[in-house]
Amino acid sequence: MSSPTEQHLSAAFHDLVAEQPFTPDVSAIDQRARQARRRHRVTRGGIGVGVVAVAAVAAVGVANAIPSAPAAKPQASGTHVTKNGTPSRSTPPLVQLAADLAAQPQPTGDATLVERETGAPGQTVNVWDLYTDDGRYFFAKTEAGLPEQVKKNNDLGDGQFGKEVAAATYAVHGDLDTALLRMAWPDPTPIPAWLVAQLKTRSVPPGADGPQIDNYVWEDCEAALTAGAGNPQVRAGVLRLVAALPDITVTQGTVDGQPTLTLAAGAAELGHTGFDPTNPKADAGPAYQEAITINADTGIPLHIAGGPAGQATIVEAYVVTRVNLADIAAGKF
Amino acid sequence: MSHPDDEYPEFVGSRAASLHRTAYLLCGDWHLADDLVQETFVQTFRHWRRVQRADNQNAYVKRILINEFNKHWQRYRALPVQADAPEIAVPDLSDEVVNRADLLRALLTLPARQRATVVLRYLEGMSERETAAVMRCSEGTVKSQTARALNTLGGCMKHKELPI
Repeated sequence: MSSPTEQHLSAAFHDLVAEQPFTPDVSAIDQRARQARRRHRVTRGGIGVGVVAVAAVAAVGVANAIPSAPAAKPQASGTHVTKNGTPSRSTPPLVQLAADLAAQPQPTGDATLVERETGAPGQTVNVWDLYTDDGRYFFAKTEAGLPEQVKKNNDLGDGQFGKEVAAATYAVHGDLDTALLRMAWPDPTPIPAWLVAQLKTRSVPPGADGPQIDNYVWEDCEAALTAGAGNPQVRAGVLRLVAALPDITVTQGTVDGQPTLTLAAGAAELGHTGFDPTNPKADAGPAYQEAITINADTGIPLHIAGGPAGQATIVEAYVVTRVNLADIAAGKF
Repeated sequence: MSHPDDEYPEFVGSRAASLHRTAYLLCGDWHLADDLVQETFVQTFRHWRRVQRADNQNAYVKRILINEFNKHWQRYRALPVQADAPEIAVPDLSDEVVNRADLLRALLTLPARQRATVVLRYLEGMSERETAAVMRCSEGTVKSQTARALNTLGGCMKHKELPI
């Protein structure tokens, strides 16, 4: 932590939380924990039917989660149901769109301009992101502020967005397993062995919270899709990877007259939350849910929504434009 | 207390204040923060042996706290985004109060993981590596989440306190 902004934020955070006493009730903790342990033993005793029922309910919950973004009117779910009654990813729409985008030529321009609106109920904030094809990232609170940032070469990305975009570009035609690993770990440092192992097994390691590679891929795909939103090749790579994730559900709809696909993440993509190695699914599941809505014809992201099941509490909306960096520096939008 | 392990009460006492501060910045409400921390300690108690074996107990418990926060969303289906200044114990209406309220509102506007990332980085002073361990993501993802969060926080601030 070295920049003035970071130091200021740290001081402000400490100021916000100062002088607020708190004394935990240790006796109550003891009592609650012992009760929970007893309930857990009882639950495990009748695990057979119970887990199946819970799994079925959870499956319905995921299938209906999040796509209720503002103004969206889902028309038909892309989810299909497997023999065990759980929803499976619906790859055809995504695979087809990824293939269509991959066949498109490289776009003109050398940067992607994104107007990003972050919103919660009663609060929205508009900011401007500029991602260059060579991996730089510029930010301004207003569109008019961008030229100065570009002239100063005030690159705030630390190369990270460029790595994720590169991973997406590889994913267009590259080996799928390699592409998943590259997106999960876009850094140049060696990919951790446990991540490679998870790719092969996709199972819960003993004592671990759960598989994480899908969560890594999902999060980095979100970043790549916005940073490379102006490039169909990047979008193609991201969609190919998202289609390969296990718990994605796809819902068709419309937003402001545009045909859309909403890609809702499931438990695997959001990370399991269970802590019990003997029954990893017991506490697992996405309390927090997330979905990306894209234009069904172009794959351009329209918004990312997050929040509790079925309720988008936070929405990031995007307006994407392909631009020339020189024009931005000159103030030509 | 009749708990057989003397380490546990000591552990609770040493971590309570830190967890409470973190919980508040995650949820924006002191009373909810009380509940989240209390429940975090319940889960810690249930899995105490695993906590004791953890290489980084602090990271482990912070992870439990973030899970509890996520569960809260599911249970109550609402965030206290209307976090106005009254929760902030400052005696007058100086500019500083306004800035604090703005900052808190801006923080609560962030997506949950961005919010957790910046709270761990800038309240807890965790390194990118430690934050990645708690958030279960790569250090690169911590960097990109942090960059986006800082930008949005800067964009939310009416005052030039967070020049980006």
